[in-house]
Amino acid sequence: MSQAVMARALFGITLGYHITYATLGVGTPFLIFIAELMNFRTHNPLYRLFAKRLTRVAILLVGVGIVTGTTVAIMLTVLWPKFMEVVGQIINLPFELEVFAFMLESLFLAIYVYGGDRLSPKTRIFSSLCVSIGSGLSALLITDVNAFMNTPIGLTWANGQVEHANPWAAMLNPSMPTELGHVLASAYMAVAFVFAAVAANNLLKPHLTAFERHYHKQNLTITVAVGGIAAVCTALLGDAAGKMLAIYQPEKLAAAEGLFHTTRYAPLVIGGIVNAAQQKIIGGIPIPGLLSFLATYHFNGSVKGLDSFPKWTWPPLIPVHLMFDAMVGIGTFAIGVAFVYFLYHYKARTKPTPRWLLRVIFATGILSMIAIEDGWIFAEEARQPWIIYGMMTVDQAVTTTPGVGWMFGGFMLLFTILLIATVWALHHYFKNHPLQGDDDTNDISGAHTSTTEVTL
Amino acid sequence: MNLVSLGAAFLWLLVLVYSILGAIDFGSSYWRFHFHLRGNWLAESVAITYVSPTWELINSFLVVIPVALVGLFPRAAFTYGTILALPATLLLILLALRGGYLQFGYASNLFRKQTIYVAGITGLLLPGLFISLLPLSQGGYVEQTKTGYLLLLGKFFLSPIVYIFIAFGVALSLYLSALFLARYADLGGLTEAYQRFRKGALLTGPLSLFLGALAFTINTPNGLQLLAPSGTNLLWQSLMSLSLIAFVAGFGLLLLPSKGIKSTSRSLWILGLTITQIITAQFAYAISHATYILYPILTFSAAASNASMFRATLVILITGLLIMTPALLWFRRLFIVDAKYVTTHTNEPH
Repeated sequence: MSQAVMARALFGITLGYHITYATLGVGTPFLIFIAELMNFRTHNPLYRLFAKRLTRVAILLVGVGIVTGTTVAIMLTVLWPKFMEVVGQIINLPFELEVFAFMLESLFLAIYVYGGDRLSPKTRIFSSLCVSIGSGLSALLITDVNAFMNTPIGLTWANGQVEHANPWAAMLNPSMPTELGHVLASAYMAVAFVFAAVAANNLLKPHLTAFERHYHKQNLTITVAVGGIAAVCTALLGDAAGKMLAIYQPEKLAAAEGLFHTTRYAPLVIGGIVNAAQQKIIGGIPIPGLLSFLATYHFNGSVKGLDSFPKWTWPPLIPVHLMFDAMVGIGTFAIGVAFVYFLYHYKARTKPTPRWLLRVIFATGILSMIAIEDGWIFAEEARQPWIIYGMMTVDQAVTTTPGVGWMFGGFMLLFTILLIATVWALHHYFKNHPLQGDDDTNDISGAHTSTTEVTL
Repeated sequence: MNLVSLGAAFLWLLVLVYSILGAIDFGSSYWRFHFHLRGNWLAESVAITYVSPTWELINSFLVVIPVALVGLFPRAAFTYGTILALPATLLLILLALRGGYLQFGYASNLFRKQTIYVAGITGLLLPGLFISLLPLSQGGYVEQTKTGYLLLLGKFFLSPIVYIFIAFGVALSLYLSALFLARYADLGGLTEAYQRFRKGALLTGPLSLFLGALAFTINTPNGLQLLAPSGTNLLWQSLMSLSLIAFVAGFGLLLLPSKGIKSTSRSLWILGLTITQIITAQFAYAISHATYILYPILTFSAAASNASMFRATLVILITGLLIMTPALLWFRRLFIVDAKYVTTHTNEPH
């Protein structure tokens, strides 16, 4: 394996882990804030209980996210020194701002968790809101660096040097609004569906008490509501991102859709295997004119094809197209699931949710996390061979230091242990802290809640 | 003062603040482990009451430093990034292990015990590993090759001065955190725990001073001479004298018997004096180290970013820290100086 491939694999897997934790770390505080808000408005203690149990998850995931995030930050410098040298000169402001978002998040998380009964209900809402803002901003600012990698502006690139740097312009690059919005909305969607899946899974269990049924049903409704709304936002912002791509990064759009020739009335092909030799998609379902419409608002709009670009800059076409379709497909499916759930919810208010629908919601939770990973891999894969589009390739950016292989082994071990430990800790915690109607919801840190084991 | 010196001073300030916060945080984890092994439940609970809400915040502060380095001195970030591949990985793994365990610790009793061990041992090692970056920056361990820079790992790890620095970092972290926890215990009116931490400080204080003096006098091979400004630079001389006086005064106060004293102001004075000692010594070290960020390869001005990025970075970092200040102060009021919080939380099992 070449140094660049090895470094990409190491960094890709690191990010793969980090994205899972980070997405959950962004979405969970938002759900906590929603639960606190609902508790304040309805005085329904079940929301407070939900907030408390979510907080346990949040602490764990945010904590692991910090570990993997720090790893990513330092790994960036170690694996991609040339890239980071450019970043330092032009797109470092989001990284700097992110530090403060991160600080805001950890600060208010500590206040929310350890402040306990010393906080008034309004202060609690405020603290959870600050945690949610902090974690959201963290994600957005880091994503902004990725947006710059897609559409780099604010500098003149001459002889491998940054000249006429305008860091503020680089930060407000053309990809920024749509990419950031899409990432945040999709995180809220995915995490809401993950917790909907947890509630659905609990409702599928036999021998539920009336209290448990009531608690899980209420959680299901609120999470599917949040997930459904966020899924619609994700789709709208994704559509806007497509229109942005058509103008600023047409090569990526062409690769995603397997469009070889610049065409008007370009069709949208769902699925299928892109064949570079025959320059067409084999086995997909074409919808005439739709791609032109999505990219330009007009069915006769012209969409740039891959033939406008030198062949060596094409990304791997087959996986890119399939990953793109998988992402869009899962998003659309999630919107449908939320719609059907609320149809049942209002049509048959008194009846329990049908079991098949619970199973579908459970699957949607897993699928939505897959969609997040898939979406990120697509976004990165479709920019290949560039690390900064049109400026620097991945091969140019990679470190010259040997020993990436050793690092690879070490980190894989670490991440595997972290993953196992996360799942184990969550499982163990909730097994020892079963759902109780009389849970002390003031004690969010869980320090004083007796467990089934003997405390130290 | 020109822009580059301002940036270098700001970076120094960040390192200073983190070194103090980190020393207290890591040291506290070690003391928890230490008193856990000796079955001193009260002293252990003082340490854990402090560590629980704060460690994550302190960890977030650590990230400011590489970010500031990349924004202000990207060439330094690039050079350090190349040579630190292995040591940084080691640091990260230890930090990750510690962070992971501190997060998972609550899940079960079995894990709780492991957490105490892992956090304690990493808390002991990390200050040493962090401070080993200082002798590295003083020169003698980096070779310039055709393709870039290379860290001479063998030479680095076989060098006695590196281990003196490591031992110094560990001892100072234990001294400072013992004093901090003594203050914390004192605030909560926990006399017995206070005495335990005082005893810890009595042992580690002189040791850290001795090792610190060694670290200043022994140079790295062909490296910077830290004592060079001692004959000529008046500021350096006064800072070092002040540091020594602060140590003597602080340690002297610690030695005095505390029978019959009700006020808690003494523990605060000791802590204040020790922090003064550290700040002044670090200031003098910074003067010795100045102009070079990596001796003799890279100076601050050669490593600096373009002027627009440099200015934007300084503006953002300084504004950001100012905006965070009220929240940090609220945090401090809730967890650090609230005597009631310390008392109630240390009296309950964790």
